[in-house]
Formats: sequence, structure tokens, C-alpha cells
Amino acid sequence: MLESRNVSKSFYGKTVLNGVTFTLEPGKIYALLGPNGSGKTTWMKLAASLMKPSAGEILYNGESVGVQTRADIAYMSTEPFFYSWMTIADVGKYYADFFDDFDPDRFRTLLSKMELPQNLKVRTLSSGMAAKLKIAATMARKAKIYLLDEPFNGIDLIARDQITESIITSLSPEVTLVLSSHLVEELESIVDTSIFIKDGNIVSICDIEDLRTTEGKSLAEKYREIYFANGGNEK
Amino acid sequence: MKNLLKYEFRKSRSGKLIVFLAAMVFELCFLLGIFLPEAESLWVIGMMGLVLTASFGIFMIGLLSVVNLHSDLNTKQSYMLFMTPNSGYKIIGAKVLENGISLFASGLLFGLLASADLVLMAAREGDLMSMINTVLNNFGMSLGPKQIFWAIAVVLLSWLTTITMAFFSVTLQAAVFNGRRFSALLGIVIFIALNMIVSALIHSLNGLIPDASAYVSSVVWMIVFAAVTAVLYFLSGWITETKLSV
Amino acid sequence: MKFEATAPIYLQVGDAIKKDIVTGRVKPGEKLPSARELAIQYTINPNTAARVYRNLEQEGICATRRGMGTYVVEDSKLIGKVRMEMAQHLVLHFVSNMKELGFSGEEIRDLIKEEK
Repeated sequence: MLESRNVSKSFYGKTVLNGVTFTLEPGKIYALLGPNGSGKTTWMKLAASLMKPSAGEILYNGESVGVQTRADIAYMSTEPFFYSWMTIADVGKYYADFFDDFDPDRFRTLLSKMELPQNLKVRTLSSGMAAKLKIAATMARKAKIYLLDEPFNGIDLIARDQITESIITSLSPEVTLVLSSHLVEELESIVDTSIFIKDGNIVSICDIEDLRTTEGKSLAEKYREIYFANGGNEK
Repeated sequence: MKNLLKYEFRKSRSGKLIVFLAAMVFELCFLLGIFLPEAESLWVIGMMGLVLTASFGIFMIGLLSVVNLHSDLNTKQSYMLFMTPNSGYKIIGAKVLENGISLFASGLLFGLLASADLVLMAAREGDLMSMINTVLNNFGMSLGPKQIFWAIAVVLLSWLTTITMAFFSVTLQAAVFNGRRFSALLGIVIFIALNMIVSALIHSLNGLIPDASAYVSSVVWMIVFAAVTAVLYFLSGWITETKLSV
Repeated sequence: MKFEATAPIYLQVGDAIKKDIVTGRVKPGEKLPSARELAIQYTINPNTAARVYRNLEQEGICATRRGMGTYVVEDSKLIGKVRMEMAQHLVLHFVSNMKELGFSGEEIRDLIKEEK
């Protein structure tokens, strides 16, 4: 269980997150949605303990996130970050060295599904291939919490399907996945609950099937309703 | 820790390979010069090359290590280290340890080469060597393997202190000035200022140390440098662990 | 399967399974995919997949045997029942749409007779 308690974060006087409070339950896939700069990446990095909050705390199973919780929490950033001297196989070895939950077989399977040869050097990869490598390495971990920042960014349709399948198969009653994505329509059928964030504040948290049942709205329509300045299109 | 260390060595591999190859080339020159009468001047080239390789090479390896730390703290590459369940103390510790081990290995390599070469020189240019030794003896010094090893040991340990000082400067810069413009420049300014302060402190100790044998004063200096290195390491680790955001 | 994102997905997948039963692609008594397999097959959230079966069970169309999986109910009258239910839904939907366009009941029946 991941709990965000009144989390605030400011950089050089600018407030990026403002008292963000919510709880993520295991066994669910969450969407973290909002326009660029709304604070999604910052919240994920705080949960991954890559930075510390200015106020509040994030708790994983009751303990404050920190060095130890990184063993259970897998974060994937939007930007590439592997050492340029590594080959794809080296990336796998690195993850195997530092993460007990890394599954090399799963990594190899994902690589072959996305057609990434293991001997390629990271510095020669196109942006699309780098993006695929990033998600393959992250999903090959059998983590308890996955924080995926724009997992579909820059990836072709077929590979996106592979990633979606990987996300679906990773879910189990002890696992939580959080996805942030600008491709809201791609998330429609795979997400349980959506957290909408705007200017560092939580605007709404919705169960998506309930949204469809009670309001007849899709996730994309709800998104437009919340963020479109003039109130959204009437359908 | 073992894994962190493994990757720190991997990161600095190419620079060290170049230094090692250069050392081998110059050692070959030296040996050729000693053993082949027609190639006399070669041993001078070899010896100067070895001195240059040792000093310049070790300097470059240290510099590359600091540049590496800068990337590891300031660029997206930082995720590689900080998404793993390793504390700031371990991360910096692995870097300091890697530098220490490398310097020790370098010291061993160049010390052995220098000692062997001096012995060969004495055999070949016996008169020259006894002349040098006489001159040195007048100043209460002598030139032998033992002296070389101690001298190298002190120099390398002081260099490790300097590197750790640079590490501290970089961690301070990364924690306080991350993302600002001229951050690398700020890091250098911090380093220069710190260097002046610590050097002043160390030199003030100079008067306190009794003028015992070169042996004893070497040991005392090594303890001083080791202590300063340890303090700088702990401070760097603390900053990385508690104050750094990547 | 392409989903209508404004309508509950668990109902849409449930309808697809019902259709399979009616057309005979899936026979009464046959084993259905596990919830996880269903999720992958239709690219839906595993919790939604579980809800599909819970809903179909409530409607009496399938049953879960502990440790063995989910099976279509062994009921020869099931196909007929489901077929009629689905037909009624389609007819209702069709007629209300046609009435919106202003057609009377007679006109609707005439149009159907022309259609074959």
C-alpha cells in the first residue's frame, strides 16, 4: 500500500505539489493524469525516493519511502538514463546485480517481443528503441509498486501492445501500478482508477467503470471535462 | 557494495588502460635503452616518459573520476545509482574506495617499475648513480626502493585526499546548486576555496611534527591525509544521503 | 475488440461472451479462459475481467468451480434464453432509434419485411 500524506514540494520558490493526499491500494492499476507541469513526475520521483518532499511524507506499507523501499518500488522516468557505454545485455546485468526482483528471462522475452537485439550499444539506439529498453528493464522486475512515467511515449503500436500486455500480466493482488500518460485513450480499458492532478493539487479520483456506469463518461471525456478551460464539449 | 565497486571500476576502465599501455611502452623504451648500446638515448626517453605517464596519467584518472561523479549527480544518469537500494554513503564510498584501490595499484606498478629501473640503472650507469647518491647523502637522504615506495605512498594518499575534496565539492554543488547555470563552475570554485583552507590547515601541522626520520614523518603525513580523506568522505556521503535530489 | 469507452467494459466483454455462446463458438459446459487469460485476450484490466465473470455468474450464464476455473452453465435451454434476451435488447434499441427518426410501428415492420 502506498500512501501520500499531505505531500508538498517546491523548487526555488515555485510550488509543484501542494498538500497531495491519497492512498493507492494493492491489486489495482492507477492512471495519474494531468497536463505537463501538473506535478505527476515530481510525485513519482518522491515516491521513488529520488527526492525528498518539502512537507508531508509518502509511506510504503507504513514506512517512509527511502533507500530500502527502492528494492520494492520500480520507477521508470520519461527520459533515457542508462550509461551510454552499456550494451542492452549490460543493462540486464546491471538490473540483475542491484535488484533481487529482476527476472532475466522476462527481460529476454520482452526484448525479443519488441525486437531489441542484446548486443546493441545504448548510445546507438534510436529514441524509440531506448524507450522500449527502458520499459523492458523496468517491467522485467517483479516489483510491488510500478511507477511508469509515460510508458508509451515514442513507442510504435505493436510494441505498445506488448507493453500493455506486460502491464496487465504484472498485476496481482500484492502489486500496484501507476501509469501517467498523455495517450489517455490507450489507458481506457486497462486502468481501474484515475487520479487527476492540476497545478499540484488533486482534483478528482474516479473509479473508471463506475464513471461509465453512473455518468456514461469515458476516461477521455472526464479528462476533457476537468482540464478543458471552457467546460468541455457537450456530446 | 561489491556491485557498486564493480561498476565504478568499469566506468574508469578505458582511461586506466591508456595509462597502463603508455607505461608499458615507455618501460620498453627504457629497457631497450639500457640493454642495447646503440639505443642509448632511449632510456632517457623511457624514464622521462614513465615519470610523465605516472604523474599526468594519475592526474587524468583522478580528474575523470571527478567528472564521472559530476555526471552521476547532475544528469539523468543519476537514476542508475539512486534508483538502487544503496545509500549515499555507499555510493560515494564505492567511488572513494575505487580511487584508493586504483591509486594503490598504480603506486605498486610505478613503484616496482621505478625500483627495478633504478637497479638496472645502477648496474649500467654505476658511476652516475653513486654520484647522485653521494649528493643526496649530503642532505641526509638516499635513493633506494624503500625511499621511493614511501615517497610514492605519501604522494598518492595526498592525491586521494585531493580527489575526495573534489568529490565533496561536487556533492555540495549538486545538492545546493543543482540545475542552476554555471553549476560546474561553482563546483570548481568550492573546490579551490576548500583546497586552500585544507592546505593551510595541513601546513600549520608542519611545525608540530617533530623532525624525526623520513620514515616516521611519512607515516604521520599518511595518517593526516587518511583522516582528512575520511572526514571529507563522511561529509560527502551525508550530503548525498540527506540533501541531494536527482 | 474495440470498446465503446463510455459504456462499462465489463458489460461489453460479457456481451461478447454471450454472443459466442449463442453462435455456438462456446458450448454449454465448456471451460472459459481464466480471468487473467481473459484480461490478456481482450486487453482489459484483470479486475474488470473478474467482474465480467461475476456478472455472468449473477445472470446464471457461467459458474466458477473452486480450483478448476469458470465454466459455461450446462443448460441446453441456456442458448435459447440468452439468444432471446440479446434479441430483445437489439430490437428495443432498434425500435427506439427508429421512433426517434419518426417512423411508426407499421412503417418499421414494412421496412423489415423489405430487408430479408
